[in-house]
Formats: sequence, structure tokens, C-alpha cells
Amino acid sequence: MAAIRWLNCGLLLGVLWSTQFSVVVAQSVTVSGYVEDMASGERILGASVSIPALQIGTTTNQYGFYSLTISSGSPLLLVSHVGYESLLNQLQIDQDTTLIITLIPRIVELEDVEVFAEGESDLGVVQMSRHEISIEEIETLPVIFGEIDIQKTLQLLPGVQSGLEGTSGLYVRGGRADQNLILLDGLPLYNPNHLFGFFSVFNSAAMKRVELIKGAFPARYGGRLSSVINYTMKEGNLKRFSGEGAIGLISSRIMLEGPIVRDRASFLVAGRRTYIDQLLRPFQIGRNTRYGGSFYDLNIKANYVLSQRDRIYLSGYLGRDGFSYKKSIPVPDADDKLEYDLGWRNRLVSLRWNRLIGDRMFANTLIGLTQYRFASSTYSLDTADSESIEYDQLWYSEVSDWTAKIEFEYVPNSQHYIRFGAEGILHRFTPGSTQTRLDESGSPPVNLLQTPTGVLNSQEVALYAEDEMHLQRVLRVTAGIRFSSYFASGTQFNSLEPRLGVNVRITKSTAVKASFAQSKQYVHLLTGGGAAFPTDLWIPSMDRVPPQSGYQIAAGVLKSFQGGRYQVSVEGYYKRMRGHIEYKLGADKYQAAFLAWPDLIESGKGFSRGAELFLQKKSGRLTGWAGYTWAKTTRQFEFLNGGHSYSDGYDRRHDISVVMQYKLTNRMQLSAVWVYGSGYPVSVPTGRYVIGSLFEFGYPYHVVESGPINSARAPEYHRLDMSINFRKKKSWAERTITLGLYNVYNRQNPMFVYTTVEEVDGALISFKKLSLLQLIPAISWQYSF
Amino acid sequence: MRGLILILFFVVFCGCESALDLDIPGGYDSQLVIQSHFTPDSLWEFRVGKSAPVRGTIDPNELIVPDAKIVIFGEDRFRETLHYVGHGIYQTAQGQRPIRGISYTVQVSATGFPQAEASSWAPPLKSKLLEVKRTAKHDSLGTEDYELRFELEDQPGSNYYRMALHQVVPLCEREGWGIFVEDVPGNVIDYWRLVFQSNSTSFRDYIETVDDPTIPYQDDDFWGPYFSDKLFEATTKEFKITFEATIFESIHPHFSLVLSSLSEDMFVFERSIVLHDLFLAAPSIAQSNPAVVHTNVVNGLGIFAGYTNDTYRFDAAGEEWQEDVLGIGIGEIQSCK
Repeated sequence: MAAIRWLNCGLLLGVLWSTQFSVVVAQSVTVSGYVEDMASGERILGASVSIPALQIGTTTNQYGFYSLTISSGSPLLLVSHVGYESLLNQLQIDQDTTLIITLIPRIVELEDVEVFAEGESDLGVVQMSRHEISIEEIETLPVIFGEIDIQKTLQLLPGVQSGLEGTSGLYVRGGRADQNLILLDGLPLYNPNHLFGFFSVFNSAAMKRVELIKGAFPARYGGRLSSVINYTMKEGNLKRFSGEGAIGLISSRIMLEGPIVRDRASFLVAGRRTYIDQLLRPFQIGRNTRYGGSFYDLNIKANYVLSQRDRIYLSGYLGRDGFSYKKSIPVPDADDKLEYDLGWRNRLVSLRWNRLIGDRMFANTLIGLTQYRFASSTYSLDTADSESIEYDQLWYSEVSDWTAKIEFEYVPNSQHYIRFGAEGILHRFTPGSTQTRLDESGSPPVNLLQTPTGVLNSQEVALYAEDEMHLQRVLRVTAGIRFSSYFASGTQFNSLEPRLGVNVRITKSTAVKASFAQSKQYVHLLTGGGAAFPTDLWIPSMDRVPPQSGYQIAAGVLKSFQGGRYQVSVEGYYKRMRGHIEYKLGADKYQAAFLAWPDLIESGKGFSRGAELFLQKKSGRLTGWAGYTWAKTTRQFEFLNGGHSYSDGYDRRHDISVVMQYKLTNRMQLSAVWVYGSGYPVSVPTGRYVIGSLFEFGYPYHVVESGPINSARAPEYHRLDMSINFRKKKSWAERTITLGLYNVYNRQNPMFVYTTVEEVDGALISFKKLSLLQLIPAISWQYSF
Repeated sequence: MRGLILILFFVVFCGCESALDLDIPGGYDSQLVIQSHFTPDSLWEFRVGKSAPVRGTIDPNELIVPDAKIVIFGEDRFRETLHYVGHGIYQTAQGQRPIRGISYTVQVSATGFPQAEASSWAPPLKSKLLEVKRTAKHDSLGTEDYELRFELEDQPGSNYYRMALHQVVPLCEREGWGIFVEDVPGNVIDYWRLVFQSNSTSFRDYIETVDDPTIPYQDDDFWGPYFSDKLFEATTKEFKITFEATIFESIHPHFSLVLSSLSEDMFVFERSIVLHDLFLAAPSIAQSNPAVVHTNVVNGLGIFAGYTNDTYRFDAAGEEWQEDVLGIGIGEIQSCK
């Protein structure tokens, strides 16, 4: 790979040798251990560890672990990762060895910047449909309000749809929002949205890595149909105190990390908060009506090095959104009040233990709790003639998961990389519960608790095993199987899910890949519309709501040019799903959250196919990518649309994203993003008629007659965003100022499409669009120290 | 600073609404639209029209179908063929009325349309007015307080009800404040609606919340609530309401309590109309499914649904009275003086 510079071995630092295991293998030996950042002591994920002369290699796993089995002797070992100086070292080994490798962070140079971690090693990786974007790159891309958002960057990848404009929703290869397994340090996060989806909950300052697998994911992942989005938090600097802070138009963030005990224990704390409520405050002084809203999130992480083989991590996340409307009605001798509040929060905490067992096995043990809760409340106080009526109502929905899992990675020889493990989850769902209190003068207080289903407890267990096999020099196969079982209210569902991936390296720079995966999902998101409303209900599978299931077949070609400077991939996929849930025709979706929703839903099928083209330029002054997706996604329900299949709400036939970053100087970088998408489907009326003399209304009434669901298309969508970053080294920190423009040419893209009925010479029915996010400037300051 | 923030908010959140020219795929086939809300208190009457493509401007008169043939069957027996009286309205020529508890089917045919058919009934209703009593008189306010009790004998299965309380109002008061009862738009029929109070946890003034158990005491003033039998399935349920009536000089308080039992199609239709209104009134998110107005017409649109009324007319002493004696409905209601 041209981009990797072959450094003088004399410059290579940080190799720690630790011979731990004395079993001598006759023909081959195993080198295993971790790759770490020399400056911070953090484990490096996705680093390439290879023996170029033998054309064998591996990458570090999600926890920085690697294991390589080679012939004994003195081979040259190459270790590389984006953002680090590559390391080349001659090994002298004749027995299994534990080797902790440290890499030196690279000082960025103008001419030779690598952006992607995938590198040429992608050619040798069996897993297809996978993307990894560096957090550094995400931080330089233009975004709305200048608020860095990892999920919105993922939307720019082929096969990923964004949903409502400006929001951070992800709809992967025809899947739904609930079909993404969003993991934060190994635990699922149920609602990844702040501010009704306009921002995601992931603070880039606390994140080390994000990985997206768009389908056919390995057996170690399960419980969702469409994708895995794997967020890994930074671990905390073991060597020195450091941090970063940023001030933006809407929110500010700060991250601090450092050693608790140098080289032994470290911490990381990152927080973010909006000041929308503070901005609104001056306008509400002295008013009887006040409203406000804000969100915050807090990430914490600590790790403790027990030994070279053992490390313990504690991860935590807390995020909350809150919105309120308060009205006081001044009346003589009284103070009448009306208050509405709504908010949601995610809480997550996990404890993880990584252990190296011998030189060929790695174990990861995790226990954790993830919790999501949405609540809305109404409070009113009416007073008159020394009497009062106090009314207080709280509605909430909640899901809590206790998770325990143990994962093993075992490398018996250079032909096999075996993973196996077990996972257990205790789910506790409260899909809608209402507490009402009425306190009226002269009457005893009334307290009511109402819930459509009560608390629903369920248990999910899964076992998996997979083997990545290097069958021949050009053929790699990953075969896996996952068995899961789900118990809820006396009902049991079982699932056996085969997974298969094949990589045929037809030339040195070309690989053909194919994959198949079957999966099952035991949780559902019951949603009333296209937006990611927090009132959407998470509900478990049960006798009336069967699990979602599906399979995906994908195949593609990956080719790199000019030694990996350019890379192009073409992939096609075919996907079938069952068990989607949807509200029945005519159900009042916005009331349904309070109702007996099990009576209002039905289960149906989904079908998706598509082709994706992805072209990357990975190094040089100009870097970036272009992606094109052709896709078709349909749904079919027995009682919707007359039983006929119809286009999914996010079925977008053509989708283009172009992302470019141009380094003007060492201190200035220009970034641009252009997106294009053919129109989303919309349901529009096709006919109309008049009814009169109604029982209640007593006058002629114009009815619009619904046509087939999603039979028309909204206008096409396109938008250009640009930003420029100015970096400057200060004595104590590096300062970055970012100026950005969202929707540079002020395209009036439709956010909402709707029908209007206007009485003009009879009934005139017309369609209108509402465009909200037009040209929006942004500025932010960031300091890193 | 305030100005800067205002400008910023304006720039960011100014929504731009504009007309949109959407391509609606496929052609449109017009359908027969049937409408009849029947009750044993009225003669058979239908409106028959047709639907039209959604685009453009159409005179509602063009949507009338004057040449339809409407045949009514009761419990599978032929009952009558209705005749056309103009303005899209078809009526009984034999003075027939629906009978409560009988299931009816209507067949409608017209040139250029397939035959449409629908079935419904006017559900049985068993109610009883138990007591009416005046509890207070406020001479200074010109009002009187009343308490009223009635009971409903609920039939097995899902049932939907509606109730309204009216007071006879003299002519001179009809220009003032109040919700007046009309039989057709603009034609007041001598009553206004009374607001009343109840501790019934079933009552809902808004039909779309009838099945919502979470709004029990939020509004204990009712104008004409709907309610379902979910909380008193197949039992006899007693209700108590209280209300305040105005004292008129020219006419002593006379009241009318109307209890209605709605067929399920009627209830679902009326609720779907409200949801349809909400759907059109607010910008809907493009990906949400539309609100569909309920129809029980096969090969057509519209509604054929029955309801049954029990009407209790009582005065301040709880004594029953007749409309014709008071001159109601025949233009002889008392003027103020």
C-alpha cells in the first residue's frame, strides 16, 4: 500500500515483549496481544497487523486485540492504522508470544493524509457492506447549525436513507428505524435522538470509533434485522490530562480525560448541553405564558489495567430532553395554572472485562443496563370561590434491558479465527401507562392508574459461533450460526440464524464478496408517522405481535487503484422481512399510544432490493467519497392498501451523496457535501365527494378520498452544504474555528407535503409543501488541549 | 442581542409554504356515493351522488346522481323502491320508516356505475328517565339548578351512545349567546343546547377520544358527549347529571333529553370524519398514512348507518310535555312577550 510509509526500524518505538506462554508449536507460533496508542495508552481498534512477505494479516478487534499465527522465524511485522505512524519490526519468535504494540500518532502532513481505516485491508476482509468513518473526518464535515452529528454523516453512505429532512434517522437498505442495532460500548441504545430527531445523542468528543454494517452481519450480532451501528467510546488517556471543548450556535460541549493512576487507570467525562431555553428566556420575562426546551448528555468512561492481560472498563451514558409549556392565569385571589411537560431520557451503564486467555484466546465479559423512558405530563389548577380543582396526569412509556454477555475469540491457527459466545437480556417494557390524580375541594382525591398492557417482562437468550476460515490464499469464508430464544408471557419463540460470508481475492487489488444472513428481531417500534417521535412505543413480541424476521443476500466487487489511493465498490442486495407492525387503517395514531394499541395494529411483510456504488479517494490533498444507490422497498399488509403491496415511506429510487474535503493549507480545510435523492413516496387523495345532512354536522362536507398508500412522489431533494475549518496552534491548545453554510443555494426542499381544501367556486383541493430548513449559516469554536 | 437572536430564529425557522404539483399516477374511476343516516323517528331518505377526481374545481351540483334506483330490503325481504325528489335526494313514497332492531340492506344502481350495496340497522335502545328535580333557584341570576337521573340497559356487544340536553328557547333569545339546535343548516328548531355536569367516566365530548380511558375528569362540563359501554358492558347503568337552566319570562323551563344508540358503522363513520378533519387541518408528515373516511358501501363510497333515539321531554316539575302543545316545530313557539 503506497500510502503506508516503510519506516526505518530504528524509529519504531513502543514494542513491549512479554513472553507468557511456553507451549512450542512445531511448525507455527502465535503472536497475540493488543495495539495501543503510545500517547494515550488507549487500545486501537481496527489496526492492521500483517506479515507482508507471507501475505497474511489480521486487524485488531473492537477491543484492540489481535492474534496472528505464523511460521516460526524472523518475519517482518507491519502494524498500521489511520492517523498513526506505521510500524515495521522484525520478529524473533520461536514460541507463542504476547506482544503489546504501541503506535505513534501521526503528525498530519499536507500531501499524504489517509482518511479511512479500511485501507487496502478491506480487500482481505470477509465482511461486506461495512463502513467505518473516522471521528476526525466527521468533525470537519458541514452540518446543520454547525452541530457535529455522527449519525448524519452515516446518512451520506450508500444504502442509508435519512428520513425527515434535518433529522438523524437511519433507514438502512429498506429497513426501519427500529431495525438498527445501535450499540454504545456493547449495549443497545433505544432512542438515539435529541430534539425530536434533529440531533443524535452521540457526542463526537467522547467517541473513538463508529462502524456501520448494513446487512448480513456476523453471528455475534443479533436481535435486529437491518444494520449494526457500533459506537465505541474513547477509553480515557492513561498518560496525561487532555480534553477538548466547543461552543456552537445551539449547544456547547466539553470533554476531559486523563490518568487516575498513570498507566494504570484513566477516566473520560464528556458533556453537552443546548441553550435554546436560555436564548428564549429574554423573550418571556414578565409573561404569563412560558415555554422552553433543552437537552443534555453526559458520557463517562473509566478503565483500569489489572494486568497486561486484563483490563476493566466502566462506561456510562445519560441523556435527557425536556420541553415545557407553562401558563399562569392571574385571577383575583387565585393563581390558576396550566402546565405541559414532555421529555425523554436514555440511561446506559456497563461494566466490561477484557481478558487474554493464553495467546490464542480473548474474552470479553459485559454486564450492563440500558433504559429508555418517555414521559409527558399535564397539570392544571383551577380556583374559584375558595374552591379548587387540581388535576395532574402523567403518561409514560419505558423499556429497560439488563444484559449479560460473554464473548470469546479463539485463533487456533492461521486458517481459523473462531468467535463464540452467549448473551442474555432481561427486557422490561412498559408500553404506555397513565397516572391520573384529581383533587377537588369537597371530594376525596381520585387516583387512577391505567395501562393498556401493564408491565411486560420478557427474556432473550442467544448463543453463537462463527469461524473466519482462510481456506486458500484467495478464498476466505466466514460461517456462523446464531440461536436465540425469547420468552414472553407464556409464549416462546426460537430462531436459528445462519450467517455466511465469502471473499474471493481474484487479483491483488480486486475482491469479490458475497454474504447471506438470516435474523430475527423480538422488539418493535410502533410509530405513528415518519418522524422519530419520542411517543413512538417500543413493544415486545408476544402472542399477538410475532417477532420480525428476515434474510438478506448481498454480493459485490471491491477494487482498489493506485495502491489503495482510490477504492471502488459495487454491491447488490436482496432482502425480505416479515413481522413489520403498522397501525390498522383508520386508527387514530396519536391517540393510540394511550389506547389498547394491541387491538390497533397488524403485522405485514417487507421487501427490498438495491444496488450501491461507492467510490472513495483516500489520500492526498483532496479526499472524500461519492455514493450512489438505486433501491426499491415495498411493504404489504393484509388490511392496508387493499392487501396490495405499496412503496415504503422511505423508498427512494435514486440517492447520491458526494463528500469532499480539500486541504487548502495545513491550517485550512474546505469541506463540501452534496446530496440528491429522488422524491419520497407520499399518500395523496385521488378523489373527492360531498356528503351532507350528517347526524352531527348538518351541512355539506367535502371528503377527500384516499388513494393507494404512497402512490405519489414528493419532489426530488438536493442540497449543498459547505464549511471551512481554520486551525491554529496556541500555546496551550489547538483552536479550530468552523464556518458553515447549510443548504448553500437555498433549495426549498419539501419537509412536509399535505393536502388543502379551499372553498373557491366549489371545492378546490390542492397540494402544498412546507420547506423549513433553508439557507442556515453556522459558526463554532473548538479547542483541543 | 435580542435583535440578533430574532434575526437568527427568523432565518432558521421561517417556513416556506408553496403550491406543489404532484403527479398522481393512474386514472380515476368515479364511484357512487350513498348517504343515509336512518332512524325510526324519520322516513327513509337517501342522498346519492358520485365522486370525482381530486384535482380542479367542480360544482357540487355536478356530483348529484338523479337517475339512481334505490331498493331497500329488511331482513332479506323487499321493502320499497325509493323515488327521486330532487337535489340528489331519494325518499320513501309509502311513508315507511325504519324499525329499530331490524337489519336493512340497500342496493343502489345507476347508469355507468356498478351496483352498490350496504347494510346496517337502528340498534335497540332501552332507557328510562328515573328522576328530575329542581335543586336550587337563583332569582338574581335568573337561573335554576336541576338534577336528572336516567338509566341505560346495555345490550351485549360493543355499543356506542350519544346524549344531548336541550331547553326550549323563545324566539327573542335566538339572536344572543347560545348553541341553537338546527335540523338543517340555518333552521333553528326552538331549542338550545344545555351544558351539563356529570361524574361519568365514560362521557367524551370529542368522539375521537371515546375509547381513551385517560381523560376521565378533565372536562366535567359536557355539551353532547359520546360514550361507549366499555365500562358497563351488558349491565344496566344509572347516570346522574346536573345542569343549570335559564328562566325565561315567556315560557317556563321545558327540556328535552335525547339518548341515542349508534350503530357501529355510524360511530366509526363520525369518528373518521373528525380524524379526516384533523388530517386536513394540520400539515401531515409525508410518510404518515392518510385518515380514511369510513364507508360500509360495497362498490361505492359513503355511509348507510342507523341510530335510535329515546327522547324525553320534561318540564321543571318533571312532567312530560308534547312539542305540538307547545307549538314547537310548527312555528308557534312563544315569543318573549
